Amino acid sequence: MAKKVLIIEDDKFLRKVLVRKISAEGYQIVEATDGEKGLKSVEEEKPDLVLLDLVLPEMNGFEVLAKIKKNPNHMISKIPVIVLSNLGEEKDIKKGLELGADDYLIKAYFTPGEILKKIENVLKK
Amino acid sequence: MDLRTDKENIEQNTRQSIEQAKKEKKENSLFEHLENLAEYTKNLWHFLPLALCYLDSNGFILEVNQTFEKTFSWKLSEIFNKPLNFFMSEKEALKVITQALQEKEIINEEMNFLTKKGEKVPVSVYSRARKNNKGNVVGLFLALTDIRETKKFQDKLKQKIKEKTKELEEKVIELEKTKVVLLNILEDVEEARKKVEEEKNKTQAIITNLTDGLMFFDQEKKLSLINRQAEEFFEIKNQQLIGQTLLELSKNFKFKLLRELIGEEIDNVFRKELKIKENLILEVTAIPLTTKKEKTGNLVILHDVTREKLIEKMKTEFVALSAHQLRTPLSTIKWILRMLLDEELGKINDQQKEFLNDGYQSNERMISLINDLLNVTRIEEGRYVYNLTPTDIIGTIQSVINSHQEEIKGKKLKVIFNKPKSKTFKVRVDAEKIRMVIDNIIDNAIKYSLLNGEILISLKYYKDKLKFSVKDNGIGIPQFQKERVFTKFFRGINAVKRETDGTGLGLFIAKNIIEAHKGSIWFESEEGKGTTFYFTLPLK
Repeated sequence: MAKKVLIIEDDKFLRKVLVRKISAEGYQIVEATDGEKGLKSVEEEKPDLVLLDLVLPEMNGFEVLAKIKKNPNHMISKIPVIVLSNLGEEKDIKKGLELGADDYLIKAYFTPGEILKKIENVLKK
Repeated sequence: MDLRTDKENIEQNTRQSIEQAKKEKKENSLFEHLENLAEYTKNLWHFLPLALCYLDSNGFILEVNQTFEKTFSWKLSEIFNKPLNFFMSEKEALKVITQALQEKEIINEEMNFLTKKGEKVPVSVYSRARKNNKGNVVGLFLALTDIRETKKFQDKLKQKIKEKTKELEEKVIELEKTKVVLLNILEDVEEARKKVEEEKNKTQAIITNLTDGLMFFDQEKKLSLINRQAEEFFEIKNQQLIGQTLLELSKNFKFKLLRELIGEEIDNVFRKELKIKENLILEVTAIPLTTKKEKTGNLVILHDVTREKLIEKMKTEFVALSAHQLRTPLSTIKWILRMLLDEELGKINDQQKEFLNDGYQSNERMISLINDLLNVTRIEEGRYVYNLTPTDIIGTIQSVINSHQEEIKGKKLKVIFNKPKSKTFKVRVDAEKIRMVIDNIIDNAIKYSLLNGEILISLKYYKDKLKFSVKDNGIGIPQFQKERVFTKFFRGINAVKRETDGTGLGLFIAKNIIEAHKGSIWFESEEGKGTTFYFTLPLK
């Protein structure tokens, strides 16, 4: 059964490229365009992995991340989250990892191929 | 009766004879007396050291004494019966005679008297009437004193007095002049004093009204001056603090902050920031004040940079935000080009691939420029955090070299890495930042090397520090630009011509990182011959 990846990303071009790249590898994709919708999708869709942007409308990524990881439902809190953002400062990276992100990727430094590899690595665990 | 008469006659005759004899004897003795007296008078007359002269009541000379003769060289015989006005002026002679006849004395009156030699000699005249036994005036006495010597003496004295007076007058004039000069000097001094006072007041006014805070500590490090602005900064009301050392002042928390920055001994500090409280950031400069090579104390200048800092912060935030916003579209471009290049969206021909690759590289450069910009703004914002972890520097260097293999091969460069012989150990640094520095220096060496160039990388451990260096034989840095190498956006003029790449931020960031690690960074370079960059890091 194909693994389900939730992409929470407000920029439609980035989202489009990601969807294209990841779905090409046979993953099932769910998209969300803001924090609130993203969090709702996590609860409803229970994806195998969340690709999470941080600067988002409605609810920022850190909040979404915290809500996932602190969710009393283990089925939700155990969902791996990869932060994919252009916030690249150490304090942001540190905060993301402390909130429970499985990896922290800076968009401008990674190619879609590298992002895919990171997804695969996390899913293997 | 006859008898008696005879006897009586004899007796009478005898008596008469005796009387006669007695009378004669008496007369003789009187005569003698008289003669003696005359002789006495004559002797006295001639003996007196005073020229004397006796004239009849008409003023004709009857007699003179020897002193007279000597004094005026006249013999009595020559002048006997000569009128007084022969010797004296008519006026003087008349005065002498008439006065005497009126029984008035003349005492010590200066007149002139003719000598035989024809000189008119100054004399002091005394005169008095001569009376007979009946009290009638019969002539006059004249006493004359030659006062030539006295006169001479007097004249000399007068001359001397005159001279002295003149001298004195000259002295007085001189003194007057001196006085005027002194007064002028005094005036000048007063004026100068006024000027100094004015200058002082001006300086005082400038110091008081300066928008910068000023504090002056004397040689004993005691506060001797604090201006209004400084008082406002420290929120104190004044002069009680004069005479206190910085340590004593530190009872006030704000002064304590200042002390922590410049120390009790007042180190030389240049434009160090000091946050005194929320919304008050001061830039502190402490300098020694010297006059004629003598140190008189330390001046502490407090410049309010709160506003500048706020603007700078806003600017930094703006740049950071813009840079972040720029990253998103750049990421999209990167991803799309990458997928196109990797033919995930269909096959492309070689020319398409080449052009797409150029686009991809340009985009990468853009991403790295923005990254540098972000780093710079973060450094300036003071939030470039240093995360010290034990780091294997040799491994870092090796990994940086490896990451540049493609360019090294492209330029056919010979790269040598001299590792330290001693066993490797880990150094506590901010690994990511130090890697950035090493990468920047090696990247520069590669970028500015010529084809077939040589790069010598070396790492040495010393007792208390490590020293890293990268030597190339590339294009070098022009002499006139050397000062600016570590400043923001610096790019060598020769480098710009050769390479469009390079942000001019790498070395600025590197210097900040190394200095934040308490290390130092420098270089040696000769245009056309090559450059060597060094940095040291302390080993703790």
